[in-house]
Amino acid sequence: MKKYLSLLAFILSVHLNANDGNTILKDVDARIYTPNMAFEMDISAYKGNKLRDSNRIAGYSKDSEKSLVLLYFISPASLKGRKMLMEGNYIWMQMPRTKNAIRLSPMQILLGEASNGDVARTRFSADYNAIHDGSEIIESKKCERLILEVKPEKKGSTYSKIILRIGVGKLPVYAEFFAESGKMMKKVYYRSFSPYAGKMMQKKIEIFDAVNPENHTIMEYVKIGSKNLPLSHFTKEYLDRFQYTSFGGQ
Amino acid sequence: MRSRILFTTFLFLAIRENVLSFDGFYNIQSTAAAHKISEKTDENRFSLSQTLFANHSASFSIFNSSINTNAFGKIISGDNPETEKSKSKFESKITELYFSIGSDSLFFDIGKKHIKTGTALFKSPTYYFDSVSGSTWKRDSNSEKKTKEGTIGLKAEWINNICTLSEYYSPRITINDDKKDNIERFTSEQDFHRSLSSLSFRIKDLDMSLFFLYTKRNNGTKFNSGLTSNISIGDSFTLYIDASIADHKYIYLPDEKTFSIEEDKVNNPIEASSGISYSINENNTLYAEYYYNGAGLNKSDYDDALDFMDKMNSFNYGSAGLLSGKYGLFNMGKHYLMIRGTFSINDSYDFSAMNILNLYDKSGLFQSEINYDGEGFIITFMGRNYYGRDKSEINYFSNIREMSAEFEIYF
Repeated sequence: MKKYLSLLAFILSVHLNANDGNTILKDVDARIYTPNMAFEMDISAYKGNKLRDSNRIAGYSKDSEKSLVLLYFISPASLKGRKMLMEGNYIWMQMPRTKNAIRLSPMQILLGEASNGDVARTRFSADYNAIHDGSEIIESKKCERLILEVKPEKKGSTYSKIILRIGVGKLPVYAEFFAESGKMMKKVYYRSFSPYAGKMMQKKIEIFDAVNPENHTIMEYVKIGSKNLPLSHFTKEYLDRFQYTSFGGQ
Repeated sequence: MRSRILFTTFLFLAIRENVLSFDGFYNIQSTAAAHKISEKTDENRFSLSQTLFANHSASFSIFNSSINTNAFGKIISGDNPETEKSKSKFESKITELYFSIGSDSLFFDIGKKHIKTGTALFKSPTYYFDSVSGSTWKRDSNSEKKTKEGTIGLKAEWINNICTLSEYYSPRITINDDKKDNIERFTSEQDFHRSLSSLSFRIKDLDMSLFFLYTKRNNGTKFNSGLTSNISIGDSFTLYIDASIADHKYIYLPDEKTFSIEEDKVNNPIEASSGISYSINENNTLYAEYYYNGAGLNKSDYDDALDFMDKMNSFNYGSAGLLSGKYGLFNMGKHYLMIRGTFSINDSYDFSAMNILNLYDKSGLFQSEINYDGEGFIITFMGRNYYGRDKSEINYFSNIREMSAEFEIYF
């Protein structure tokens, strides 16, 4: 009897923690997630302290059942015009000159700049179930710890698990992103936020390669605007027609 | 004066409000190549050629329409390795020039546009509008590899989030002899009408496209049906297949009695390319692609063709060249295999190697490249070797070893 009671208590605690976790996660998204967004961001990749690569990428994200992102490389000149469509593990890239559209495996972008764009646009509550796993101190800040497991219907998402730490004001402070294999791929620090359209926008994010911690990337939004593209634009067939138009954002 | 002011104001407001936009990218590429003719000839000859490319690519958009252009100019100088003749010439070509207009889901294109209908890397039977199918190899260092030449036509496309339907029509083109020099910079003659219908859709992560091509010539019609499909599996694998079936195709067989070449009709030949890519990590990927050519020669015809070309060569007749010219490279055999690897050495250097093998006569092409990616420029060193025994497909199509260096500036 005692055994059954402790099992029941365990199940109830998991259930309560899950409810608790999902509520916190929804609060986090309510604070930071901006649907139907146009953006430009600078992505600087470092090895140690040495800058090894710098890109400016523009993109559109779409608020839908799926996490949809269209990306356009603005610089450097050798990559200008490269376009990408990302929807979890469904990734297409089109080269500007040959017009070749290539299907990529998630591994091919897992540590790349485009994938970092995906990290920045993760809408946690739509894709993940959360369990509240207590609290911990991150960089001297007290944070709530959430364990996020990808929802069964979102199995194709790039990251199957995220451990997220939430700080003051329900804003993310630090997260660890795991691939389907269970391998930790990225450690992400959310460095600064700024207000946009009644929400708090992640302005600067620092991403460490979990496999090789010497490699890290700093992403900084340089423009943010509102843009609601039709769903038909987030298809591989539309990539050839996708033309990025600069906008006067915030 | 008033109209100028109005126009300038309109232009200013259009740019300011992002109604009007311009986007373009340019690169200049200089290639120097050394060629070595194979041991088959009496002497080992070397030749050098230099090519200077300037590529332009731009689009100009206003409201829901755009004008898109792709063009290149090139200057080739040096020796032609095949003929030993020195040459120096300027060529320029508009590879694409088309006008697009559309709404959120319905689009129309008119003009010269590259129509891409496949995903295979080495050879795709569904690249119905490509002179050289595949994207991993090119014929020589003087060829443009950055831009693909389009065909003139009209395209209507309906894209929605469930499927895409498109219809493309490319008309017959005849050019008066006295205008050829000017017009051929834009287009070549085309003695047939072509119409391509396609339907693309997605089932979860599986992409599928179906094609139906109708070709009408003066002497008859031809139908092709094709499909392309691809999927990614797990974190590291992608699989693809491009396949096509034609109602008929002509093959070319030698007649040793008359020393001539005869056409033979093959009904319903199937062609298919199937490939897999495996990403070891973000920067290192392996590819394998198998190409089946249903219209390729069977073993006895293949051996007869090689014997014939060998005889013609020894008599110094031109018919050997004629037969190889009719087939083109990697078309005579039934089975081919491509293996390719792309590797990152460090942040600046990439290495790639590729081997294409004719599985019947074991002749093939090996090509390797090292790229240095600098600030705004890329330097590429490439080595290419065609190999095979004296009587093999490769030896009748190309017998050149080539080393080249390319310097590209992007802006």
